[in-house]
This record gives sequence, C-alpha cells and structure tokens, in this order.
Amino acid sequence: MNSGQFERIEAYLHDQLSEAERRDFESELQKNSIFRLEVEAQKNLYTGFQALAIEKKLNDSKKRIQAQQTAESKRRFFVPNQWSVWSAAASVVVILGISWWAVNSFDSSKDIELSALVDKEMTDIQYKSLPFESLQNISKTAPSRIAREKAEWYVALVYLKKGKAKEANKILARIAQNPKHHYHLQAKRILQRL
Amino acid sequence: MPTKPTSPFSQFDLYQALKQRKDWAYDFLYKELQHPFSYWVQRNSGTQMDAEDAFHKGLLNFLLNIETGKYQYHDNVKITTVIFDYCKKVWLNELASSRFKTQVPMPDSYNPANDIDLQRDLEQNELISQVRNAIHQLRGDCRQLIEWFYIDNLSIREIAELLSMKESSTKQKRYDCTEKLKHIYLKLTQQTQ
Repeated sequence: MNSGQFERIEAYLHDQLSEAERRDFESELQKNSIFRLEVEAQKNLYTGFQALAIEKKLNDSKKRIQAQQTAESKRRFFVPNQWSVWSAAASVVVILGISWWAVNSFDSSKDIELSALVDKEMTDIQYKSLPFESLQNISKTAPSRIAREKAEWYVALVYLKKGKAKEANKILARIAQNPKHHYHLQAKRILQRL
Repeated sequence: MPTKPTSPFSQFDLYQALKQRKDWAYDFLYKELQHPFSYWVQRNSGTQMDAEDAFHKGLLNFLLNIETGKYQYHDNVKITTVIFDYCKKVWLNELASSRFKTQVPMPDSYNPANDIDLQRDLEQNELISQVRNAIHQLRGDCRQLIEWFYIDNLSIREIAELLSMKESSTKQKRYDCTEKLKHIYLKLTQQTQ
C-alpha cells in the first residue's frame, strides 16, 4: 500500500471524505477483500491508539488526584489549629449523641443484631445514599420491576434502621408473601429475626 | 493544572468535556466515583486492588464508547450514575469469571455473560493490548513518533521540531512507521488466532 492509499483510508476512518469519495470508497470495500482487510487493520490500530490515549489521560488524572489527597492529608495532619480542636470536640459530642440515640433506639441486643443485619443487607451504595422520599418514589414509579422491588426493599430496611418496626413489618410481609419478588428470601429471613 | 468550569456544569458539559478528554472532567470522575466504587467492590467479595482494576477497565471502555459515539448523551441521565453502573457490571463479570466463580456467590441477579454489549466492550481490551504490544516492538524514533502523534496528539510540525527533521520527511516517516506497526500488529493477531 502506498502513502496515498494510506491517507485515503485514514480520511475515510476520520469521516473526512466528500460524499462522492465516500461512495467510491465503500464500493471498493465491497468488491476488494484485500482492501477490506487493510481498512480493518488500520481501523483496529486507530481504536487502539484512541484507547491508549484515554488510558494515559486516566493515569495522569489518577496521579493528580492521589497527589491532591496526599497533600490534603498532610495538611490536616501537620497543621492543627483551633478549628480542628473545635471540630474534634464537636465530633465527640456528636458521637456521644449518636450513641445515646443508638442505645435508646436499639435497647436490646436483638435490636443491635438487627441493625447489623440491616447494614449487611444494604450493599448498594447508590440506593443506600438515596433520600428516603426518592426510594419511596422509585419503589412506585421506576420503569423496571427490579428497580421498583429493590427500592421497596430499601424502604423496609430504612424503616427498620429508624426503629419503625411496624412500618417495616408491613412491607417485609408483603415482599415475603410474593415468591416472585427479588428480595422474597431476604425479607423472610429478616421477618424470622423480628 | 486542569481548567475547571467557573460555574456549576451541566451533564451535557460533562459529556462534551469527557469526549474532548478534558482534564477537569477526568479528575471529576475520579473524585466522585473512585471511593464509592471501591467501597461497593469490597462489600461484594473484592479487594481494593480488584476495585482499582475494575474501575480503570470500566472507565476506559466507557470513555471509549463516549468518543466513538456508542454511548450517546441523554437528557436527565446522570453520567456518573451510568459509569458507576457500568463499572459494577465489569466487576460482576470478573466475579463470574473462572478466577472467582468457585469461590464467591454472585451478589446480584444480573448475569454479565448475557450482556452482549459489555462482552463486546471487554473484547476490545484484547485489541488494545495487541496494539500496545505492537508499539512496544517498534524501535527508537518510530516508537516515539507513533506515541507523540497518535497518543499525545502532537502535530507533524511539533514532531518535526522534536526530531530535528523537515516536515515533509516527518510526514513520510509517520506513514512508514504506521505501516511497520500494522505489520507487527497483524503478525501478533495471527499468532493469537
């Protein structure tokens, strides 16, 4: 293949041929199997180049983010100021508050065990981080059945986590009674523990 | 330093920036998704290293799909959510592979083997790896020229300056080197068939 043919293939792959040139090119592609192989090989090379260029950019980005995070953590570690002292004190208050709430909400070992079980079941970070209202919404309006069922399951788990056993029970019973529900077995398992 | 947009950007801005390989958009994906994804993989039978591999593979394939037009922009669709889901599928595919199959149960009802699009995307990794190997077999100036032109996107003029050559000679050299590379690549693909 000469450099003229090479450039013609390149122009075709980069969509730089005129309408008439493209028609000629495609007609030759159909007739000439050797030419077809040449075009295919050049196309594969360009896909590879494109991917390697993206990969290089991705690696650069990863290094930048890691450098930023390292600098950030060093700054936090070496420059204690009044703000960090106050925030540490505030954290202690918050932790104490949460502990008080936890003790009052789950006042028996069974409840604590249940809370751990709920945490274990919440494996999907996206669903876990959705606001409660969104979960309720998805459980009713999502176009796919699996998404609706998953959201319904998470609504029940959130109720459990909030200590609203009555509301959770109602949904779990509904899920457990439906053998086609994606979370049928999990719901049954939790109901047995309640 | 990456130039970030001064005001909050839309999903369309992000899509366009990813298509043009803007640094700020790539950085945004890393910041937004790396930790949640790593957390998810570690909750689903993987290690942090598995998470990094699956994330890298998923991002690479997805960004290639954006550039080639296989993934098109859709209104009201959050790109980070789509990428997160895509990377999840990549990890589920790893879990379903022979390396893990016998050790861990699948965490979801999704069967990656039936996902034709994903399988086609992952097959591209083989092609990428062959092109990478072929470039590594090129020597000296040729390898450098190929990397500058096709991967770093330098112009023929810039490369001519770097190699202290005339533009016309550099243009001819680019053709010669790409031809050499094509022969190596074809040889490698024949060996693996």
